[in-house]
Amino acid sequence: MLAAETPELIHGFAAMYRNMPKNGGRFLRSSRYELLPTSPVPLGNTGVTPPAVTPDRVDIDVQMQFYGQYVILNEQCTLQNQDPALTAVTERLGVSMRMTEDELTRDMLAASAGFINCVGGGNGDNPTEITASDCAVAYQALRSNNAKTVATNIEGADKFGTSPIRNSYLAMCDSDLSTDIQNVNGFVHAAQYPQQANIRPSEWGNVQNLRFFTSSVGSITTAASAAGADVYNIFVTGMEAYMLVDQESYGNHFVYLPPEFSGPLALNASVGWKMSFASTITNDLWVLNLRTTRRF
Amino acid sequence: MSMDNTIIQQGSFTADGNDHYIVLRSDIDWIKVYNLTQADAANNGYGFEYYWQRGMTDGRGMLWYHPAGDQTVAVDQIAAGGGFFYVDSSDTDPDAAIILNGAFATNATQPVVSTGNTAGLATGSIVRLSGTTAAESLSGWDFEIDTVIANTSFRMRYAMANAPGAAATAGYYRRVPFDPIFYPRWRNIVNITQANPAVITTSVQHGYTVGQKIRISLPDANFGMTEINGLRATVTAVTASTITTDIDASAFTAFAFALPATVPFTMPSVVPVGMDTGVALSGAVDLLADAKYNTAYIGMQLKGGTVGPAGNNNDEVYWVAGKSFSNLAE
Repeated sequence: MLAAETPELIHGFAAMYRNMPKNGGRFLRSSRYELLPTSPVPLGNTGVTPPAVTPDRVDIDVQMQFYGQYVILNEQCTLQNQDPALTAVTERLGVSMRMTEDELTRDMLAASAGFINCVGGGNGDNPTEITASDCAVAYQALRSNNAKTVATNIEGADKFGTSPIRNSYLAMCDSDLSTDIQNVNGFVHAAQYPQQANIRPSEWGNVQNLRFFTSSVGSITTAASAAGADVYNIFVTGMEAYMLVDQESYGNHFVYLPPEFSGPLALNASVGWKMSFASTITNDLWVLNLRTTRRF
Repeated sequence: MSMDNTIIQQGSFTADGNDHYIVLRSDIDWIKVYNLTQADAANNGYGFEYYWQRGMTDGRGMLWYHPAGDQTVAVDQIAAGGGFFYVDSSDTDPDAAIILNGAFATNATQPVVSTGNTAGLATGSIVRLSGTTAAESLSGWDFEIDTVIANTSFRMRYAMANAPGAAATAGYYRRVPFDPIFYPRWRNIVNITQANPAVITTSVQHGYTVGQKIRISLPDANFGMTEINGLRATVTAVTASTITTDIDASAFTAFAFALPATVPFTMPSVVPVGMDTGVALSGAVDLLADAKYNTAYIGMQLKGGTVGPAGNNNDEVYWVAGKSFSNLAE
């Protein structure tokens, strides 16, 4: 059997994974107590108690939902086909499920992550193509919000053509941007990393403190630029910025029903998948959408 | 497993004269609609039965109607755009670009956009402008519209802080059929009052509710009020397009809608953060209103009207929809 055009699935790379307890209802609530102010003023010697500060809590809620996809195979198909149709279809269904998960994560980020337009380029559009200054703005925004980097630094090595890589946030985008990213000043291709262990096939390279991962199913907002061109959404994320949730005792199901379940004549088998899935941004300050158009 | 001609769902509704949406996640291959009120009546030219099957042109279908003021029956194809539309709201691609003409977009806080083609537009539709020559700062936003004059013009529904600085002398618009599928969503800001409390106006309906926490992103000084950038607020009151916050902006710089020369820029936006449960409880609103969920659906849009499957006001309408094996060798 020949390979299918399976895309790289990148949007869950930086996600937290959580489990929703069984019999816990439809919603999962996560909460965060915000930082309290510092207290740099001495208490003094009056003996009078200063006022208390009020803690601030933000609740992040997400609703569990369920998804599924299936294929019906006539018994004559599995009986007479020379290739193992059921096996092949099962494999495709597995990919379908993971692609669905990736797409939902991508669309959740596109719908609710705060954004910055690239403005440093010269293509005359709004947003412009991506430049080093735009990468710096994105990095600085997350850094100033105390987002933790996802990837640790890669130390330099005595190897020709390599370059040390800084602690980095992840940047996930469509592979249509590959050439534009490659043309950003300071770009270091993944092949130029001093260590090649644990580099994913989807990793394209590094600019400053961003490591770019590309996929053919990256996020694109059609015809959304000032000139009517497609806008590419680059999700730049730190640690614990968003989470994916599945339902305890459910998760991902593979469902096969042999033809005997199909009716009096047992004509059709079915094979499918079901999954529980929910996703949300858990800290809006730690992920942003760097919107860009293409130059190349 | 056999699903030949299997009815999967049925239902009824009382028509209000507008389009009617039926959510059918199981998907359908055919739908029949019966207008009981008009079947019983003897109204000349009124439809009472409708049929659509996968493969028929989107927006059309078959129609049975009374050709005279009696119980006689005639059959016809529903006029283009007047029948059934298959809807998959996860498909968020906008329509094709349509050229502006005449005075294009006026230099006003609610610009009036001239076009010879307003097909598919109605009050509440969302449009995206592009290539607005001389009024470049209007391009790339999604605007909700009202005051649609057929094949002449439409108007931006929610007032911007100020006029965009110039009238557009050329450009395009596209209808944007659907929102991003996940709620709550970020929204663009067209005005913030320099007041206590600050009131935000969004370019389209925002969907936020009292008690939700939001963050205001205003990273570009061309929009003024830079002091508000990054502040988090709790929603204390809402209308469809305004959000009253707990921020005192009375000492801030005034908000300004960017002028043409300032492009490129980052539009100001409001971003969902979470929920302030205390405020939600005291406001007696749903404390899970901020919960992130997928709003996508599959279903049918039934067009309203005398010969539309969604009927006229107060018509009693019944429908059945089904699945069938299709496209077998014929």
